[in-house]
Amino acid sequence: MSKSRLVDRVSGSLSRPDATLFIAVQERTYFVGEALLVAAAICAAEQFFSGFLKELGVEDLGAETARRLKNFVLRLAAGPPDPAVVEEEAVFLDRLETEASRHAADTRKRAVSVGQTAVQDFLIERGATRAQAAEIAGSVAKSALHEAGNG
Amino acid sequence: MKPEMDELKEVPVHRWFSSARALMVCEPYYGCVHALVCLGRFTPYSLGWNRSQTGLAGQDAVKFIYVGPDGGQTVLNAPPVGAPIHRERFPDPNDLDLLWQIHCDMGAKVAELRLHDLDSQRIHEVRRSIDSFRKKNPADHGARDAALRARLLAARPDLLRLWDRGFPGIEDVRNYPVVLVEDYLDFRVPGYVAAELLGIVIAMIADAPRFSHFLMDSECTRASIMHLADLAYNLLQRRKRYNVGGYYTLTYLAGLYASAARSVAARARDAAELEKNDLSQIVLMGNNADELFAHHVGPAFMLPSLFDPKGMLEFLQHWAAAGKGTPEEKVAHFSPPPAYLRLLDTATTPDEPQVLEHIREAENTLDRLDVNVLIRQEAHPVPQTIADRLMAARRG
Repeated sequence: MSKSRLVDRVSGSLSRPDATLFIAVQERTYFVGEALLVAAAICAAEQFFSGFLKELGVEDLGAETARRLKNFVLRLAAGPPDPAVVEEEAVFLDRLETEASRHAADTRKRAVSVGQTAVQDFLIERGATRAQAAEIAGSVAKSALHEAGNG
Repeated sequence: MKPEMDELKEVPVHRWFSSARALMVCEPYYGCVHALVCLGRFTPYSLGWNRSQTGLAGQDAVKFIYVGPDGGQTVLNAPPVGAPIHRERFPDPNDLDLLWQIHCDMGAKVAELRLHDLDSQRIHEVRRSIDSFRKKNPADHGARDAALRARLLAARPDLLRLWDRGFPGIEDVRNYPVVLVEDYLDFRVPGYVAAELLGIVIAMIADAPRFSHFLMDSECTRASIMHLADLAYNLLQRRKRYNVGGYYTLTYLAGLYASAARSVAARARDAAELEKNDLSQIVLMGNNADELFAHHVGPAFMLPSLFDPKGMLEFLQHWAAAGKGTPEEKVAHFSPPPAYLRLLDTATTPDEPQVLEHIREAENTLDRLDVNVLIRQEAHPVPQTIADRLMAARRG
């Protein structure tokens, strides 16, 4: 469990094989336990928000999200993440959720599909099939924005 | 190939089919080991690092498997220096007969029922087929390779002969892999062998009209893995629409396609003739197919083999009540059909006739599967890219 409700929601929406796709590394296969499920949820949510925020015109925050995601994925390649790093990312994601809730519902609706596409492309790059990527991306978007009332 | 039958009409029929699928979805040896793991009578790995070379982790190369309280990982390179490494454990050979014995007992009961669509000859043929692969350790490449070689030697002249017949014989070439799929569905060949054959025969077809190459170029490799993994995923999504027999047949078929996708990826990796970027994604696609198999196919046939429907429901209720997570998350490990999920929250377990009645009632709203049509139309194992190449080669 993370201290972030957003991370909990997203991790709750991911099955173990879905989570494996987010943290996949070519020469390493994970058995996903709780810690790695949270790490996968962070990857999923950050990937979603990087596209979502760019579409909302919040370029700086979108770019920062993409940068943090890249670093987080690189760290994951070395092994399961440090709990402190996980909490730091969770706090950052809560900030993104607050930012998302500031925008009007119809503006957010357009951005959701861009965020979903970002997740989908990420998953296809990591070996998912198209249908699988689309389904997971839809469920990540829904859980990431649930409390913002844009599910 | 026989049409789909209503498996739950008679409990021994369902358990007979389930045990055959559990034994043949990979290979009988794996099926027997997994049955013991499922019952908590055996665990191959210890906490910490384990060295595996038998393929229990999915392939045959040496692997190092870390098992920790919060998850674990499998790596190809040696773990950190100084870390203690356990040897993978093997079950007591006497215990290995459990699942096989269930299959034989159920076969005897089904034979007594004298059913028209599952006669004693078919029961005997399946039993003989499974027995011929039984007790061969999957790490024994010799046994598997012999089966592969025999089938491949037969495949090339077959394909050339079909090709020489010209149009409309080209459809026969394209349908050659369908024959392999049917052999697997009829338990004539185990999943690991069928998957490797399927990958190789698709590669041979991609090489029309020579039919000599066992390896594909990057485009065909990618297209094949994507196609087979797509099929596996779609079948797993679609299985919920069917009755119990259809549900498990689609799961079993998805298992073959996921294994074939993994097998094509593994051969591409071992051949190492592809660009680094191509190879990297191909390996990830293979890993994803492996995950689909491990989470949604492999464990699915165990409970219906080991228990009658009431016993299976009790097992699932017990499993759902223990440990962390929601009941749905926990029982998802065994991929039970939707009809069982609806019965999970009943306060007391209904008796056997009631369980069957509930499941049959739930099945009234579900579709019946015609797998013969499915594998020839929507779930054909040859990707369109390769079918197009075949047509182009014929025109050329």
